[in-house]
Amino acid sequence: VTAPAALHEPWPSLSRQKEGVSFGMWVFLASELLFFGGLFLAYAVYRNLYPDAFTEAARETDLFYGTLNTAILMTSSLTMAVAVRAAEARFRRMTLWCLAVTAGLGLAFLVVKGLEYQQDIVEHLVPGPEFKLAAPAAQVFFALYWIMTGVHAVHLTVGIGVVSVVGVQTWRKVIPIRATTFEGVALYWHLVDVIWVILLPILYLVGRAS
Amino acid sequence: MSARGQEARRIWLMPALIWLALVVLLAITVGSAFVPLGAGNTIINMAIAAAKAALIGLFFMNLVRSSTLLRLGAVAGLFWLAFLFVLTSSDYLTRLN
Repeated sequence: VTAPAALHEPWPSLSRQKEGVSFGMWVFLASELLFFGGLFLAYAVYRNLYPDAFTEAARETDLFYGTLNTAILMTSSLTMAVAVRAAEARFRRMTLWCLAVTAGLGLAFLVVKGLEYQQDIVEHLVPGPEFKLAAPAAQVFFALYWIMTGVHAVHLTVGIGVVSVVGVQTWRKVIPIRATTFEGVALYWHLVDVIWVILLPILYLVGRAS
Repeated sequence: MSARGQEARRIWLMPALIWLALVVLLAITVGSAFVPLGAGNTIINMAIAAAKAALIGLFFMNLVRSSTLLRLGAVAGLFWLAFLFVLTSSDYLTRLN
């Protein structure tokens, strides 16, 4: 049995293939940016129209969980970045450990988010007849909160799945350590982190001082 | 220290420094959110979010050492996002009531 090749059709060299993987991923990420951009825009328009209701509603989100999850995702981005650099240096064990920790931190984020969601539901922060706050636009804020964090969590879940599969396949040597796979996976993971970095100030940090 | 040990150190050094900068920025943004600055709170928070996104994009996503093609791919998303915001704002921010 021969070791699986890192170079695939139609690329003439690994460096060209790596460029192709990264460029393809960046094109996809640009479309992701516009996808989340639509939600950010809706938030900006409604916050501009109803600033007081948005401030009142944002105070109801849990800053502790939000900050903790930001730190968790940042750390997962650190281990993801190290995984790519370790693979470039052919440090197989370090690559595998970093991928495992990255996926683990992703799971930790989802657990914290789950605890937060449970608390949100108990506190009647789901838009509808039982909603906690009186101002109608406060429900718009929480509709955006659930959609944005929910779609983000779906993206993270996909990321955890991809990182796990790539990690296991690298461990089984189906994916060679010279493969260009890691770079593409990492770009996606970091973008999911960037999206959360923007969600923190707009969902959790508003109205804390007043 | 062995050559491999030095190499391992080199692999961790830059990402660890960026991570440290991200943690410091997180502490500043959460801390400043409790200081009443009016519109200044939003400005500081969004500026720090942009700085964090830039650190992640430039160093974790390697844009500092990427080819022009990749950088253009990355900027294209922001470019069209800017159109989305500018054109929509030209409506909502200019309505008289």
